[in-house]
Formats: sequence, C-alpha cells, structure tokens
Amino acid sequence: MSLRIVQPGFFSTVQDLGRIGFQSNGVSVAGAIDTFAHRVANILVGNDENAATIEMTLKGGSYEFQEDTVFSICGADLTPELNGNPIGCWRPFIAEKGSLLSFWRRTSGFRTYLAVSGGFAVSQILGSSSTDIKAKLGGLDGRTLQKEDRLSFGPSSDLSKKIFASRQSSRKWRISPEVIKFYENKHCIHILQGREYNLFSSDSRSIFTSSDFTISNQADRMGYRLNGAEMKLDRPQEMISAAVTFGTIQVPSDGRPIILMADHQTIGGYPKIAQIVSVDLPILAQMMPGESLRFQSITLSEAQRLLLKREVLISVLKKQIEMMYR
Amino acid sequence: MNQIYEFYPLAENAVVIQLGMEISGNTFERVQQIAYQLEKQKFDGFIEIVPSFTTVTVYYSPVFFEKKGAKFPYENVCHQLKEILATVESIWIAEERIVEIPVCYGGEFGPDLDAVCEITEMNQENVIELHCGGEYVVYAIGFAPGFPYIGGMNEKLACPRKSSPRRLVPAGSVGIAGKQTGIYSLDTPGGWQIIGRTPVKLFLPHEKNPSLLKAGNRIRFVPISQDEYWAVKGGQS
Repeated sequence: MSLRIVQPGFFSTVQDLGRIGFQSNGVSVAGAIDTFAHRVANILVGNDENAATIEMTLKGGSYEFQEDTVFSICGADLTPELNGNPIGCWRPFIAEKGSLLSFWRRTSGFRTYLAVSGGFAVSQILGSSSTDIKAKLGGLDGRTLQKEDRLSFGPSSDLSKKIFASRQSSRKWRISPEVIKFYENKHCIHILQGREYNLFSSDSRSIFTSSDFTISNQADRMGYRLNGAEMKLDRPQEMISAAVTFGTIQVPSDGRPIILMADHQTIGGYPKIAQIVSVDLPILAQMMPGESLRFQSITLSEAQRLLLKREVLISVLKKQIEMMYR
Repeated sequence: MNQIYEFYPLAENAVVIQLGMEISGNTFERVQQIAYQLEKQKFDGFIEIVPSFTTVTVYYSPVFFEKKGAKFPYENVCHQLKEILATVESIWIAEERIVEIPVCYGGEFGPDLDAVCEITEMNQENVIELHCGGEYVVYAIGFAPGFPYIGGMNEKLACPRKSSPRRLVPAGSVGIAGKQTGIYSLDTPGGWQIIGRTPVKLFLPHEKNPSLLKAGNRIRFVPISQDEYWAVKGGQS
C-alpha cells in the first residue's frame, strides 16, 4: 500500500482522462475536470498523461506516503506542505517513505491534482480509473476518498525512475508562469455559438456576450448553473434530445444557463446556446461559486487552432522534461 | 446518397450528423444504419458515436484530422464522413434484435399500478395487458448508464408524472411518464409512475457492452410472478 488517506479533504476522487467509448451506452465520460492540470501533473512525474491522479476540490486534506516516490501537484494552490515545509505547485518533488503531504488554505483556483510516479492503481471499469459519483463507478468503489483509504501506485516508467534518481541534484525547476497564465482570463471565456443559438431572442443573444454571469452555488462535477441575465427563446421550442458534451451551455425553460462539466449526461434536450472552447475549460474548472465570467464568441476554425496550439505546448513540455533527464 | 443530411459542430472534437428534424421511422432507421456502419468502420481518428432520435454525433481527434487533409480539422472530418455516408446509405443492413424484458407488475414492485388504473380508468389486468402488448423500440440510450428512451407505448396508458418525485426509485423499476414508458437502469430519484419491476439488469459495468439494450433494439415486456422475479434475480449474482 502506498498512499494513506489521513484526511480526505472536501471532495477528493480518483480521476484519469475519462471513460471513452461508452457514451452510446449512456455512460458519462467523467475524468479530470481540469484536464490541463491533470496532464501536466502526470508529465512532471514521467507518467502517461492518462495515469490516475487524485482530484481535490477546495480543501485538500492530508496524505501519508508509505513508500518513496516522485509526486507533483498542479491546479489550484491549496498551500501544500511536505512534512510541514511549504512546497509549490507545478513542479516535481521527491517524497520519502513516511512523509506527510498536507494542504491548507486555498489561495487560488478550485481543484488541484496530485500525481505520483506510476499513477494510482485502482481497478479499471470500462477502461478507465475515473470516479463517476452518480453511477457509482470507478475510482475507489465509485465514491469520494475516505479516511484510512489506501491507494497503491502503478509501475514507474523509466523517466519516472530517472526523475527520482536525480533527487541528489540541486537543480530546482518548475513550469514557467507564462504557461499557466491563461487561467487568469476569466473575463474572456471563448465560446462557439450553439446549435440553437439563433432561436434565442436578439436581446438575449447580445446580452450573452456583453454581460457578466456568476457561477451559482449549484456547481458540481456535472454542471455549473449560472446567475445573471435570463436567456429567452423567441418562441417556445419542442426539442429532440441529442448529444451534449463537456462545455455545452444549455438553457432550461427558466432561462438560467447551465454549463455541462465532466460528469455530464450523454444526451440532453434543452436548447444549446453555446459551447465553451476546450482550451478554456480548465479556466472554468478552477472557478468557484460566486466568481463571475464573461463569454466571447469565436469561430470553430479559431477554436481548433487554439486547441492544436495547446497540444503543441504540452508536447514541447513533455520533450523538454525527457531531455532534462536523459 | 440521395437522402438529405446536415453536419454541424457540437464542439472542437464532435460533429453532429442531423438526419431529420422530427422523429420518424425513416429518420430513425437512417440513424441506426449510420451508427452501425460507423461503429463497424471506426476510421482513424474516430473516438466514439452517440446516436439519438434524429442525429448521430461523432467524436473525433482534431489532432489527427489536422494532418489528414488540407483544411482545418472540422472540414477534414466532414469530408471523410461524407465519403462514408455515400456508401452507407446504399445498403441497409437489417439487424433486428428483440429483447424480452420480464416484469413483475403491481404489488411492492409496482406501487403506482393502482394510481395508473385510476387515471386510465382501466383495471389492473387491462393495464398489464396493454403494456405487454405494445411493440416497443429503443430510440436512444442516455440520461443514465443503460437507460433506454423507449417509443411505442399505447397512448391509452399515458399518465402524468407523480406530483412529487420519489427520493429513490430502485433499478429495474418500470414506469410511465406522459406518453412514454421506461426502465430505471440505476437506483435514482424519479417521478415516473412505477407499475412493476424487472429482475434483469440493464447496466452491466463489467461487461464489454455495458448496456443490455442498444438503440434500435425492439422490446417486449413479459409479465412474471414474484416467484419468477426472485428466481431470475437470484440467478444473476
């Protein structure tokens, strides 16, 4: 056994990049909400990007390492400490057997990811380690982590071993702040117009991208309800259910938009006003109830260009780390 | 390809093939054909599909489709889909599967059967007979893992939802809401009028095909006794 959950925090689950390939069976994708932080956390410890991490929300809790390992913490800054010494986020660390990782005050973001060398080894359900709370699937018995749970580690990659072996070196490094600056762009969340965009009144459409919305208290892994202007259809519509996805903004009859998050249903029947572009979903994943945001419309070709650019950035990061430990 | 369809993007990694604007037998048939062929062909860069009433949504890898063609990924994937659709719609493959769903009606498993009798002004035998006599088709799987959207219920059985939903409806419960009938695949809260329960599991997370039912399947409800219910239930796990 390799990680002992001393205190589980507020809402901590095991996640990978999701349960892919079973949406036609009604199975949600689930997976890390902030895929960028999850992927980088894995890359920093030499893991495959899909390796299982612990996603912690708001309060991190505390954890005892029961064997030596390389770990990293990416995403929200919940003031992590190793044996009482403050450590930062977005860089790899070495933990020795018996050391205690604890999280304290949240200073930025909402969710953070703990990756360990080899990833957390839980039995895979439908090809994924992700916890789907609603369907009670994956992770540890489909639930949040509890006190005294134990999570073992998977086998370390060669790169992981090299990062671990470099522990004696005094070289300290972390991800450049430039790379994670995009998290601050809360007032410019890029969207694509949704399929039903033109069914909304012209007033609603112009307000949608010119006024602020606030994330309400009804915000969880399934979706964020927004407070703000009500979005009205020109006339009531009888909708036929079709696929919805992570980032789809749908509007029920009360006019209050809902952003679908990682645990979204596979199909939905509310009018879709917009779709958040994928590179901006991590920003949203790190926003708390009460925070405000504003939408800005872009084209699909632009959105795909941004996505490809982000993928290049991640692969460059990966290569650099490989070179550093060659 | 002489039938009309339309592509539109759902997201940067998903394109929707719209095959009709209303629910009809022909549209549904086309949805099934296209879903079947796409599942079978699984072209490079393909991730998964989600068939529904009038649409088939295709998830794909934009990174892959950037390299595959001269334009941006969405246009490249649409180009590929066009080619596939042109061949798909020339041959229709019939793959009719009828799934029998045994249901123990009434009693503790169907707490709302009496209410349904009252609303429909029928006795229990008539309600059960009409419900079992229907020709049902699964339009889509969604809402919850393994949950079927079922069409084809006799309109005489239509009932409004319960005024206040139950906190917990056990998996397997068979209910009526409006003109629809459905089967709960998980224990969830719900407001449908529950008339019976099936011992058969609709969602099998450890199977390769975790949903018992697939879009396009036909369903027949078969009435069983409580003893038979427990016999089937016990034999499962």
